[in-house]
Amino acid sequence: MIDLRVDEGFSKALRAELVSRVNTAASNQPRKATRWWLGAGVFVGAALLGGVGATAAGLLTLPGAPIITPLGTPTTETHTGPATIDLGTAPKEAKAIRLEMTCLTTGSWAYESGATSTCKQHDLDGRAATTRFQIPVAPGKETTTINTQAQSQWRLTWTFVDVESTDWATNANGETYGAENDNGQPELVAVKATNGEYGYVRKAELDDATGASRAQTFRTPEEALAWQAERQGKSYAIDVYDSDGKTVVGEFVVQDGNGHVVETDGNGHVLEPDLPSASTMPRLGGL
Amino acid sequence: MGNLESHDAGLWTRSLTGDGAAFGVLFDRHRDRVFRHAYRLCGNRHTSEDILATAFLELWKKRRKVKLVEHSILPWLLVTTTNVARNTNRATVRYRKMLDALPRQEEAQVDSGEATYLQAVLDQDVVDALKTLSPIDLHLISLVVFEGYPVNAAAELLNLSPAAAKSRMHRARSKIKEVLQPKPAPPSQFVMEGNGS
Repeated sequence: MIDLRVDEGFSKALRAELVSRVNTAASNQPRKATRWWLGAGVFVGAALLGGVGATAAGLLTLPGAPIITPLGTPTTETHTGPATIDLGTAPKEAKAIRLEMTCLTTGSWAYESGATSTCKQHDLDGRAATTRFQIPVAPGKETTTINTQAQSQWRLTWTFVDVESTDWATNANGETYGAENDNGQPELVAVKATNGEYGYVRKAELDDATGASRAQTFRTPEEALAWQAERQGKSYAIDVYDSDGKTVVGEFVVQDGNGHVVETDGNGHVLEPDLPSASTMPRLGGL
Repeated sequence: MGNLESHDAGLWTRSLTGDGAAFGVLFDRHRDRVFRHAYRLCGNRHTSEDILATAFLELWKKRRKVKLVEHSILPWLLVTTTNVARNTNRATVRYRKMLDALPRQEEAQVDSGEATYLQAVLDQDVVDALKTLSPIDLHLISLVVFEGYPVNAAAELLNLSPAAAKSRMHRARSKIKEVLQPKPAPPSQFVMEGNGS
């Protein structure tokens, strides 16, 4: 073997950099709100900018984002444990119901769509406590059921809305860009980057990162499970571009198996999540 | 494993509270093995340095997800090193600016001499053989064959059952052997070796 040692100058400089990063982190507050994590299949659309997100972001002109008009005032209810909510009769022009579930305690929640969300202790005070979603208005459908652990407390606010769709725009390279909507995703999908910038990720890169493209290649459940195990706990960062699809403005992180998987029993009840205890899994602030 | 030397838990916990000196000791402790593993996977010194740096930067960045195996961060580091080495360009882009700012030895000084060249050719064969493995199999081979971890410890880190890990190990070893089979030698060598019956 040739002398396989790290170059000392390189090593010293790297070491100094690492030590300084660790020391600096101690004086920083956690910056959770600036990172957008996606759980595996959990509200994948939530971190992508849709109608309401785009409005909140001041991007009213985001192409493809539906124009959403609230009809009437929001209704709020607070619950403990699983509940079926009577949403009331939809106004005639309503096309959808927008809901905001805010967790008041830790727990996991399962929605009729099959989606789930989880609140851990450190999520409770911030924006992470609120999960926003939308269900279409359907004739005769006036309730929705949300499952959770018996002791979990939560608040649900909902509003009937009118939804008017808009079209995606096209950049100089002929790529469509804009918000994810009923037509699916454009070639450049609007997101918020980890640095807080708004921009677009390439759909192809997003599908690779979320595993959407890979998932279509599985022939057996074993393949899917092995793949899932391999990705457990890993994160994938992809570039966020300006609408030109060239200028990089930040990065978007897709995270798999974020801590634990929510499981339900045969009756659709959420089982207690298997949270890592503080002694086996050091958890400290800062990212 | 299990000796005092490989016991990282205390230093790791101190690092997590922002103790840079403790993290520095962890770096000193595992630097060479991470570097050698990176070299094994890419066969290039400069790239190995990038991988080494990226692995440790990732260790800090993803510290909330790091899993200790037998009180050591090394298995996690080796798995990350493997992942980074498999896709060096993508993995290092996040730290590019920083990596470029670190001082390097001159390339010429590193890659001079015939011995180095021959070694590089040999290394490349192994690098190519390892590239034929799936990511999980590569992790397993790295941890068990190169670094001497028990199959069960590697299985735990990779979320595999011990039985699945064993059968994967077996298949991966056969595959590497197959790829590393000596290619048919030129006729002259056959003459020299003879069969001497």
